[in-house]
Amino acid sequence: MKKIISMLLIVIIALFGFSKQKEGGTLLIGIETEPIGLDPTIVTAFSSFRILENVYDGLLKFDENMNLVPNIAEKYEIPSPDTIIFTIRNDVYFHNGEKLTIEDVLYTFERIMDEKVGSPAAAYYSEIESVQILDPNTVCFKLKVPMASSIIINFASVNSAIVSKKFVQSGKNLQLETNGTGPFLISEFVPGDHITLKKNPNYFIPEQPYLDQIIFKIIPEEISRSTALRNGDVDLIEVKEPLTLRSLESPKYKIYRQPVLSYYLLGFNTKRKPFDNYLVRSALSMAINREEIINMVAFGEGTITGPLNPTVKPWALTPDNFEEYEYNPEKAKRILAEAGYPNGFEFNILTSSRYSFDKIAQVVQSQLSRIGIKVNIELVEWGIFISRWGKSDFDSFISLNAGSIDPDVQFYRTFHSGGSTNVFLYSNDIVDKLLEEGRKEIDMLKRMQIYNQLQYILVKEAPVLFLYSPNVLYASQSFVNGFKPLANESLIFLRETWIDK
Amino acid sequence: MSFSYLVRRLLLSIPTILIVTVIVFVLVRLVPGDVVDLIIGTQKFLSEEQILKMYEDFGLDKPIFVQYFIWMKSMLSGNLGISLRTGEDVATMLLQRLPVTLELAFLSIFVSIIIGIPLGIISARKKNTFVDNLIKVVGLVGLSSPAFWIGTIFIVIFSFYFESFTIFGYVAFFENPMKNLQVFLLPSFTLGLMIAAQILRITRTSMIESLSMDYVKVAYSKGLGKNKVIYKHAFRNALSPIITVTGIQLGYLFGGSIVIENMFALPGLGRLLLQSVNQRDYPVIQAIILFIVIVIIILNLLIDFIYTIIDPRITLG
Amino acid sequence: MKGSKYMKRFLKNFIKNPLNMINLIIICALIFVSFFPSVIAPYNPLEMDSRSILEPPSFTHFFGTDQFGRDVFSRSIYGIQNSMIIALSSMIISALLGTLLGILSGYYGGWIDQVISRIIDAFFAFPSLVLALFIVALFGSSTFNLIIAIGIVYIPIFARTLRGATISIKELTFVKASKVVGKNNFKIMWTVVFPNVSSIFIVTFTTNFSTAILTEASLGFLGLGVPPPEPTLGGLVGQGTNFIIAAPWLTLLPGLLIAVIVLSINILGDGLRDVLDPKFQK
Repeated sequence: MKKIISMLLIVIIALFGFSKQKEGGTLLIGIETEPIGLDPTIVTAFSSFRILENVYDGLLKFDENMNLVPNIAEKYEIPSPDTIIFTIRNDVYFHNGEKLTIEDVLYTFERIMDEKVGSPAAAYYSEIESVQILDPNTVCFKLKVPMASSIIINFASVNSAIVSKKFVQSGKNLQLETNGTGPFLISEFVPGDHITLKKNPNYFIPEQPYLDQIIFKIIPEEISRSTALRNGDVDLIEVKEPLTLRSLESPKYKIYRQPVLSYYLLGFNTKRKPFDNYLVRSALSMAINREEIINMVAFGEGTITGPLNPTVKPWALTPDNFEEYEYNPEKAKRILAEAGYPNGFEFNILTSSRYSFDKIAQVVQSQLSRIGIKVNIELVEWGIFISRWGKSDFDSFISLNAGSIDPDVQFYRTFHSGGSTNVFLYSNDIVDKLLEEGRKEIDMLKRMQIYNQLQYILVKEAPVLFLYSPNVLYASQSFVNGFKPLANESLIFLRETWIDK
Repeated sequence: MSFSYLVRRLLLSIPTILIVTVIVFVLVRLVPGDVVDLIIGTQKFLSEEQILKMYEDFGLDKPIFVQYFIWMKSMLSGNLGISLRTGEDVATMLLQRLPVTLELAFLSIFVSIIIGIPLGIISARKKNTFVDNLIKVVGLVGLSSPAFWIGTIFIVIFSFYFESFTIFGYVAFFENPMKNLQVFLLPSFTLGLMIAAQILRITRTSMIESLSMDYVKVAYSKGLGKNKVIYKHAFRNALSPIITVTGIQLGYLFGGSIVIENMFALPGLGRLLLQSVNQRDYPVIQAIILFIVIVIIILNLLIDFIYTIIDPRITLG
Repeated sequence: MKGSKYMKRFLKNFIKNPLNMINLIIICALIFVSFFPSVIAPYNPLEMDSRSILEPPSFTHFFGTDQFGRDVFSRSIYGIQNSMIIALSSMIISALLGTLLGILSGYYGGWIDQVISRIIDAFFAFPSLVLALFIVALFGSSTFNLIIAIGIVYIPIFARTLRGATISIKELTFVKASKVVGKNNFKIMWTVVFPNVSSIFIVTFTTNFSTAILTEASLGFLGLGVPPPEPTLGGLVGQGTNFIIAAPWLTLLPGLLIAVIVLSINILGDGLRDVLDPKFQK
């Protein structure tokens, strides 16, 4: 009886909640960095993604559990492992009023694959043989390699968002002007100050977005952002410094935390001594206390990760599966002695001061000094960091890699011999073979076996030490509803956010 | 002759400005790597034509002094370049940020004058007494304390004891004057106190000097009231060194505003400069530095002119 | 004979002021700490401890601990040493070059003076922090670049002051006499001019030494100082700025240390000026 009453209550509250006006209002968000460029095809900055994913749409998108769901494509089919067919919606319009056609879809992907455009997404689609229009609503992607199940997730990325052929060809610079199909359109951008998004009244999902307007206020200082939230000047803030949460522990605020897919790593140059010996690398894995790194650098706001982030289900093996994850400096010392370094050695870690790389490097330096290894930190400017990273000009480095919900996407480019981001120069025939099998395999169980084996090898051989995945943190006023950050740090849930004042 | 002094002073500042531009030009070119590559960066804000035009603008194939003239020409025509990070026109960015820095500068000078000059006068009048020594020590402490330290003390005090006080969150004056002044209160006091220390010291020294002058003594003997003597005669006389020191402080003011603007999150030139430094946005860095230095040179020139007006004794040094 | 009389007067005046004596003790302590930080510092400045993260000041950690559990007091002590090395090295650069340029320019006059003075004027127009920031921004922040940057910043001050001093004694009889005797110009500059402007040199050195410390600290505060984990006073303060609300001691205590050090060097400078600089003698 009690149960029924409470059920009823919930239903009533739910109905009441629904009947309540979700529509309208302005949401003020305090963000750290302003977007660097607005062309979805070529931007690389996270800050640009966060804005553009609300302005442009891809063929697919992620739901809150990182499952692929239809977006501009109302459905997709994988008739065979080397074919993907999308059927697009018939009711999608660009912000300038022009109707989205299959031509725009074709053009978008031609543009991505055009070397001169320099899209970072070009690498995802390098295995595409052809893109064909089948009829005015369907488009077919033929692949050189039967790897449809891993390539498909790229269609949800901002870099794959559909642009208007006419608009681009009219000579507009998309880095400065936008014309998307998304729930919001950019109505004003005052660099260094704010970006205003207005509701797109013709959005193809009729009831969305709920908000009339979103104003992203650019507030680079953490302390100003949290003060702005506390003073009620903004409704939602990005929290970059976990300590800030201590000042927001109150029912007046909602805290959002979500472990992200990206992960910190200590990468080695596997062609340089002493890291050409895998024993040395895996010894370092045992000499590094990952939990301590999370506590010191992120005040506990992070999760230890194996080669795949624990949130990547069902693929990930959790860290307790690996003996190399046990913090055991004595054992590390023994292995080093076996490997011919009884008295330790000296090496450099390349870092930059972004994303706390330098802080992680300091902790690693201090931890390794306990087993007699001398670490020199090379702190360089970001541009130099990227260029030396690309040229494998380092002994080792600390970095943050974007993870993926598909193991092939995450591993192939990173660990296959000659892979595009295999800056470790790692090369292992067994790993190469597993990677090639993994992307072709359609049988889920067999695929899992392949990637399990691969994860064990990667931890044992340790071309990189996977450290941890940080939590993405947001805080809002209690009246903000429906907001959720995703594991890929996406803010697409702004379209379902509403204000309940 | 004060007129010929002014002309000479004006003429001398021209080579100074030119050399400043040479210094900035040469330093930026000493950075390893091709300037245009640095400027183009990895983000494609610029069209092919713009890039070609930039190569032309820089004339990298030409000898360095030719490059300098090309660069000067484009600077003089108001073309300060384009930000590497936002693709914005640098001149527009400067103009947007300028009002914040100006407001901070004016308020800080105001604070420093209302604190520095009265304390300096009191100190001079009570020369070698306890009060004088106290003020002297306060002045020295002010001179020695880093601005960020004073600023931190303010932030800590205000955030613990005056919770409703808005420390951060810049609003333009015309948008909300009360809030604007509230946000500027701590920054301008922090910066103002630093400068007040300098003004206090020079006020004291020059007041002591002018109080011992014969005509001040004469004024006393004529039976003029003590306060009148001090404020009318002695202080007016002490004014010119005070103005000069205030002028020298302009440089300090701009340097300090970098620290203060970043500390209190004020979106002025100083913060833009640091952001650009962190992103290695060379066109913006170069433009802000040139701008600050040239403004300082011009302001010092103006101060010299005011100086000659106030103090007609100045002759050709 | 002239020298010893001078010294006596100097010492007499110096000792008369008790402030100078207290200050002298602080300065001595500062020098001691700079040479032997390990004697004072209770902990290894680089040693991390995950059990004591961001602890407030206590008897075990006088200045509290930072986010890595490092003892901030020990880091400050070593920070003093590093900051002193940076300030001193850069002062030596600017003193050498600045004095050379100043004396040359003042002694020769004419077009040499014009050229040097115009260049010095141009550098002088840059606010010191702005110029140092510019150089560090262009060439990256390392201890070496920091020393060079701060060194360049203070050259014009030395050059200007020493030029003025040289001009004021150039016309004096004993300088002219050396010329008549036929000594070469460089010898006169070194043996006659420099000793006579040395008191001004000392005052300039001391007063600018303290501002050099402040410049290093400001750069550190802005995140452009010596890269971690090596502590400098400025770097410590800069590291603390992320935690102004959560852990204000990280900024306040090293900042206090900077203020005390700069204050005592300033008092020393003031004292020296009262005694040495003819302008301030009654």
